[in-house]
Amino acid sequence: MLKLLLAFFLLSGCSYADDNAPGTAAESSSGRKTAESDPVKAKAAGKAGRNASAKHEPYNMDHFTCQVPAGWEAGRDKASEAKNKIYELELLGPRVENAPVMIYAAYYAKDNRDFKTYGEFIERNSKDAIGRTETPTRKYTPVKETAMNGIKALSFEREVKEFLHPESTSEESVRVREKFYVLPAKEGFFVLHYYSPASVFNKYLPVFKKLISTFTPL
Amino acid sequence: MSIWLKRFWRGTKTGKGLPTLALVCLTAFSAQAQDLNDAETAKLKLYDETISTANPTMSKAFLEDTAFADRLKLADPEKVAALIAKAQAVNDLEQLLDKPWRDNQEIELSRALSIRIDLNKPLEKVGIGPAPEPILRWMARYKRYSAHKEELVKRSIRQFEVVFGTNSTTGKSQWEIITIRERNAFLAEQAGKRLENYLENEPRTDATFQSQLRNETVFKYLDPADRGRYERYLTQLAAADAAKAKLSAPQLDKIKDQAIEQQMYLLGGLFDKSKSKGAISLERKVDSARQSKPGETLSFQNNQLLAGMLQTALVSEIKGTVAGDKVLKFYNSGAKLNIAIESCQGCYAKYEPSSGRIIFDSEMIQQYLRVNNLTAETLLKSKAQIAALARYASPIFVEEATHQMQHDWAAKAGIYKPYVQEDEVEANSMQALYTTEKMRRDAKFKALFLRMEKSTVYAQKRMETMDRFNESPVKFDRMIRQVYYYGTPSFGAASSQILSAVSSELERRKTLDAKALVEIEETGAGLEDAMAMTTQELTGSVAEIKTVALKKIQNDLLHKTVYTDHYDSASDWTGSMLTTVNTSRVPKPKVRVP
Repeated sequence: MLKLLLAFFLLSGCSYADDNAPGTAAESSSGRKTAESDPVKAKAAGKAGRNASAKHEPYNMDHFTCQVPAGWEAGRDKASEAKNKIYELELLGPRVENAPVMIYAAYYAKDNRDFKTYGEFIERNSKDAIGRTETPTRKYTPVKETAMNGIKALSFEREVKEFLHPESTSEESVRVREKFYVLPAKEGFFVLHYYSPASVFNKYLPVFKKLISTFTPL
Repeated sequence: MSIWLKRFWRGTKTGKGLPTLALVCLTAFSAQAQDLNDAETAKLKLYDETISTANPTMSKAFLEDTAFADRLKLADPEKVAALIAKAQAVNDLEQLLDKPWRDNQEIELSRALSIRIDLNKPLEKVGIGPAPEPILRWMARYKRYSAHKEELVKRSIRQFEVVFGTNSTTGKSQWEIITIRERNAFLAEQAGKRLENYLENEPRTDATFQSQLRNETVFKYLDPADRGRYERYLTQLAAADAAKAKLSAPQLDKIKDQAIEQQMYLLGGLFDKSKSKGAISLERKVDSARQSKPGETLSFQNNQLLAGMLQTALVSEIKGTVAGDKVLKFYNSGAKLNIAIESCQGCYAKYEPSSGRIIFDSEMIQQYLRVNNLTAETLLKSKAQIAALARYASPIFVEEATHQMQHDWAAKAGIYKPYVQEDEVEANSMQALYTTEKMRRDAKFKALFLRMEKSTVYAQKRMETMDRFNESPVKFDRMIRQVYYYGTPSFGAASSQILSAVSSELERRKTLDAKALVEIEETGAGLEDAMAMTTQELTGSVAEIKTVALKKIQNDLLHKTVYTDHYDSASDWTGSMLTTVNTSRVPKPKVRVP
């Protein structure tokens, strides 16, 4: 049988029916909610997810509300939230060049596991672990004070060479660009995080900006 | 009884005497077996029927109905173990597919599905397996995943149409009775042959050829060892192409028509003793990517000598750091440290439980020699150079020593421990914690890694692991599970597979005659052998293991808090120690950092 299969393999050239990632549609499962409850609409929204002008719709959490892109997969890990006091919505968008476009919106409670203050979050995420802003695999922009919907915020970016197989001696990697907005709160702080392959960073940035413009801490 | 048992397991940290007590518990279980009332019987029937159709909602409901599960454990421990195994398997499959999978994780998803959907796996008992196509019907029935995810799953299970196209159906029926593992093995073999052909015969190194090679979809099927060769080949092509731009026509003439390894060897010679900055950089890149020359390889005798010297140097190197001191405390308490240098087959280092050795990859060490213009002889003659090599290897030493500690913990607790994702979360966190502290406090370590990260991917990866851990240990946990070790089961998945196999076998034995049972007890593997088995070995040989050993392992895994408490404790420790390291004072460097 293997010989037979080998013949098919060589004749077909191992082609894929669809190697290019389409836009995403919604899913509904125990751990993951969808930004679109109607599966028909979700499919249409998935197509919209391929471009930057995806439709948005409301998403409510205990600590904030915002408009999320329809058709992007929305996920939360509630067990981790309860343990670590970091309440985070993960939005998974289109895949481009073997990497996803992702948006995170998170509330870090005052007693969260990882950071005492928003300042510590910024310190550890706007430089590498030894305080550099440029390394062979990373580059950071300076932290800027800004305003987000009238709320004081701090923003910065970083570009990272992400190894796709870090557990082995393989050298395959993709360059990823990330943008952060950090909003101090009365207790704890909020973080909005945009993660994208560098080549399509600007293309999907309007989707992130739409979420930012509708983000409301509660 | 149930509450007492839970308290007993939670309160037992040292695990001394556990085997004996476990047997006492098992006896007590049997003695207190009780019949179910009508309502409980109906409830059990409902769970049994729905879980047997792989219903994820009912599987989750059953796993959360711990009071009922405790009640069932008294009535029929084997039946409840079998039902838990099936429910855990369905729940684990749902959790796996619910994760946000990326396009570049097709290999990982394929690997993750192949260890769950195969012969004699719990999912087979709920209609998913050994061939993987039923997962598509399960997704259609119970889930509403995006079109993209459905497509990714089809690619990951190597669906016939996706692999071979839709124009032909010949061979489809044969393809659809084999497992994902078998499909991957076949495709990997074909891809490996194609790669081998390029490595042995292809002289081109230009950008067009590099692009062509990157776009050949067949290479996505390479197994990990060949994937390493493929990535190395791409690195060699880039280095050779850059180096050739600096060569004269006669020099170029010398290397034309040569296969890549020969080209790299010749280029290494052409750039030796270069003085200009650009040439030195090119030389390091070529040296990093080429094979070793005779003086740079380690002979058997040098290998033995170096392993011993490295062992001593590693102990000195990690001393004084929080992660390093935890490792040394372990070795000082009687555990044996045994370092070896061998080919690691695509990894930088590994702990080998069967021999108790920590093996460093010989190619990684030889690359270090090449980049630093060292030979085996000059290395072995210099204590300072041995110390520097130990410095370079120390982050992965801490990681692999952590794996050794995990095995030791299970052995001392007298419990069976499968290899799971949680082990890697702990080991990688230890590595990252160690690297963080060394980079902040040890100027020599910092200088070495700042220099080496410019020319070796090994150093870049250690720095990246450190950076990702520092950004947030909570997110680091997620990254380890999703990016690095998708192909490794979580504790939930592994215990589910084992419980299913063991429970089925214990049920089967109820139907055997006395002669067959006596034969198993006389010739089967005993407790010690069974406890040393991997998940695969155990689930594949349950029929040849003595009953007392199977019951012991079943009982161990039914008390999952013993394991989860251990993993949680390890995670909390590395997270809190990172805070300690980051908030303590950092001495000024004594060595100039370039």
